[in-house]
Amino acid sequence: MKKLLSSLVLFLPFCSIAQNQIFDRANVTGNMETTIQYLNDDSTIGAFAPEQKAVMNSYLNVNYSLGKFRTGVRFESYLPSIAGYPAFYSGTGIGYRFAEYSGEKIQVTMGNFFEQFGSGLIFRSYEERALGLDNAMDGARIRFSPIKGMQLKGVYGRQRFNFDDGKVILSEGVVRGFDGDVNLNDLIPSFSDSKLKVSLGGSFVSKYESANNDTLIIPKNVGSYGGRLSLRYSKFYINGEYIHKENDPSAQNNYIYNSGHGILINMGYSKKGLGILLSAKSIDNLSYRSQRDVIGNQLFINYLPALSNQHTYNLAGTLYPYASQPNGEVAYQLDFLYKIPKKTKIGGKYGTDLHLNVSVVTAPVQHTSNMNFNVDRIAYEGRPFDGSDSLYNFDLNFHVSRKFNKKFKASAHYFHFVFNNEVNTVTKKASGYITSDIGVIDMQYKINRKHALRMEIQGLFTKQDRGNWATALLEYTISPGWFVAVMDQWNYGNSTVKDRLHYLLGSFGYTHNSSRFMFTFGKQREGIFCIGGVCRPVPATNGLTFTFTTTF
Amino acid sequence: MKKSLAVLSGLILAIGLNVSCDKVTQPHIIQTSLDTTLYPGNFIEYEFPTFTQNTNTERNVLLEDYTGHKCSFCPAAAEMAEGLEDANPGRVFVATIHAGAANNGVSDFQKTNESGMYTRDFTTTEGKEMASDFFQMGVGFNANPKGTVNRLEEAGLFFLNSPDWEGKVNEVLASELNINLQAQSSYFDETKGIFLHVETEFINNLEGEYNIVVYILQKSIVDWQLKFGEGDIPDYNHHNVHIGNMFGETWGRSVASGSISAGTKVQTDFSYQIPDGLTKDDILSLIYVYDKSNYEVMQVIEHKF
Repeated sequence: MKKLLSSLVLFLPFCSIAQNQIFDRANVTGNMETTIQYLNDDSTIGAFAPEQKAVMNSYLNVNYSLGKFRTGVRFESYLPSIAGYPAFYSGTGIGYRFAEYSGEKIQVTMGNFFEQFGSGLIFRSYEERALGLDNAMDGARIRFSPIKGMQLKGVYGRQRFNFDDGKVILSEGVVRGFDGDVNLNDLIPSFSDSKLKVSLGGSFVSKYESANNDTLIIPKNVGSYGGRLSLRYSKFYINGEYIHKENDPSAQNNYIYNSGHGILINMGYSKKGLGILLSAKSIDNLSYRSQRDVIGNQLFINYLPALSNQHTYNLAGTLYPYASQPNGEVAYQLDFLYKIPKKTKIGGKYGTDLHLNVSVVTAPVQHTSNMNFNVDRIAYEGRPFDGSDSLYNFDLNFHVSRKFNKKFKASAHYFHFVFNNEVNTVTKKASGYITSDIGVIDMQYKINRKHALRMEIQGLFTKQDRGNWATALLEYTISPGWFVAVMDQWNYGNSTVKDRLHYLLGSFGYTHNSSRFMFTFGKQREGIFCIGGVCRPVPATNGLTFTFTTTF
Repeated sequence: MKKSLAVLSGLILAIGLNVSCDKVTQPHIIQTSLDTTLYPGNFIEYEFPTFTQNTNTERNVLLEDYTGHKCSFCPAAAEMAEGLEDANPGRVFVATIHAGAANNGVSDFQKTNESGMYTRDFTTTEGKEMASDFFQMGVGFNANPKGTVNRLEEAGLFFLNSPDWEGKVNEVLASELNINLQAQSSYFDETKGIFLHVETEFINNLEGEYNIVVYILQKSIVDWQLKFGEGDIPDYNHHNVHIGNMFGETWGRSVASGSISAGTKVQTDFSYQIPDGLTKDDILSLIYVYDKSNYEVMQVIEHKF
């Protein structure tokens, strides 16, 4: 016994040293985001205060890493969720947790993870917190890079569906998939110095969901597969992906048994001062979810990007934004960027940036002749890039920005939208197409090294919906910590005189190291908030919003 | 290494493609009690018939002759039944049911021998169940031969001795028609399957609960029969022998109940597979609707396939 004790006494200091060495290499990182709103009723703008008056969304990510091992957890709290946020978020709990080992060639993850295959047309698990969108996987993932130039991925799990009273509710369906990527220039030594850069990949994803339907034989396993190719030669590049989905009857497609397809092609040319990008997309019946009775933004296995610019200016971005149509669309987009060289007559001392963006989205043609719907429930035949003349969305926008001198720079923006309110219903005050023109002038004046002033003037002109709008924004920044801004949106063109309202909104914020405090107070009009073609409605609010973010 | 990876990738892809897709080419689950496998093809393409207005105004007769092959007095009753049928073509229909007045529906008259004579079992599950119930109900079924004429009750009894059949037949033939029947069918040689469609029309307002039954009869079976005065006849011609009910339903299925308005039409669909050794020309069906409260047959029709 004495021998044992003496051994322990001798051994303990070494343990302590070893532990100290281990924990010296450990690292804890994280971030926190909190939004608290105090809301008032305001019948003039249609804003409602909840019973609690105050609402809160809060998140804390904590990650711990030690050598090749990493683990993390995210706490979430919705007490209740902020105005317009999906109601299925409630309570406080752990919304995300994982453990991960990253070796030289292998990475394994258990628990929650985000992942994407290719462009995401077949599989994308991601979080877009501002939209209330989180389809994180809960299961296992393996990434394997056996040789240089090759990466294989496998995922298996269920997707996050709801966050109900602090508990994550998962999808009924299970998602399985694997993906391979090969970079030929890395893989083939003799090809490594070639000017032609080639990479290709392929994916296969399947979902399983039990089925109990009295009238239809539902496919419980729904597979999708596809390939992609990327070529770059000097200043030219082209990449594309094709995805095919097997029969997948769902609430989204009204339980038809069509297969689906998705094609995304990007090609471009770029050199200093010039960039041209052409994109084309063909989607048909490509709503792919891990639970067939779900509609809305939840439980998408795949991601369908919108081929239209994501506009940041208030009037252009939130009144008539376009959302992707998973049941089908054919879209084309052109981006033309040119910098008029500096020190020229037109370009000025610093040069002038021009950007033209045009996108058009139409409904696909659905060929219905010779169909036998009563037998096979295949409603139509859809062909790639077979667009009709039924317009879903047209977006033309042109931007000029120029720095005039060291203190002053300005930009002008023009937008022309033809928006199909029948496809993307954003307002009940109009039907059919809404045509609008928007002009924006954005000016920034640097008073001195610490103080800057920015002003935006925006005007939206339309004869439909709520008529014309004007927006003015004034923002004053004192570097590095403070900013204050005031914005007014005025619906001066509303055909109903009493609805010609002002939405006055003030905000100020303070940044301290990696922490930021911001207060916003006043009225916000209802609108649509979109990121990457995925949108959610935002209700009108009147009140005070406090936002705090920090990283550590 | 590269070769192994290629093989591995190919294997994963092949497994994935094979096990992870359910291709459904005919997704509809057909809401029917019919045996859809009897249709040679996709049943969703099967065309159900439509009925024109039924112009019949006459009430027909179902004469159920409860008999047995070892019952020596039964052939005389059978001849009487067939005579009534012949005398009233299209109005009187005989169903020869081999079942006895016993708790299990089988008396000595229906029993079979293991070898030699009378080896054929003429009884049916449905026939025995009816005989058993009727025997226990005390409605006059106490021996063979006994018969019912539309199960029309008289003094609480509806099983009659054969000499009384003719009078009751005439009584029924002259009675009012309250329920009309018409039928159409499809036959598929590939499966020996039959889909039978029956329209029941309530001509007058009726109260009660009414069921529909379809007897399958084999037109002729030549086999042993004991006959009074002649003994064992090896080649007796058994006429319209009951070989079962469609769907195996002894008491049929409901067509209507409660207060039923005049003009109510109900379509009932049946499926049936002809037994091995028989063709569609060997059999016929008797379709009848009866009042569940007293078993009275309201109308019967014959339908050949």
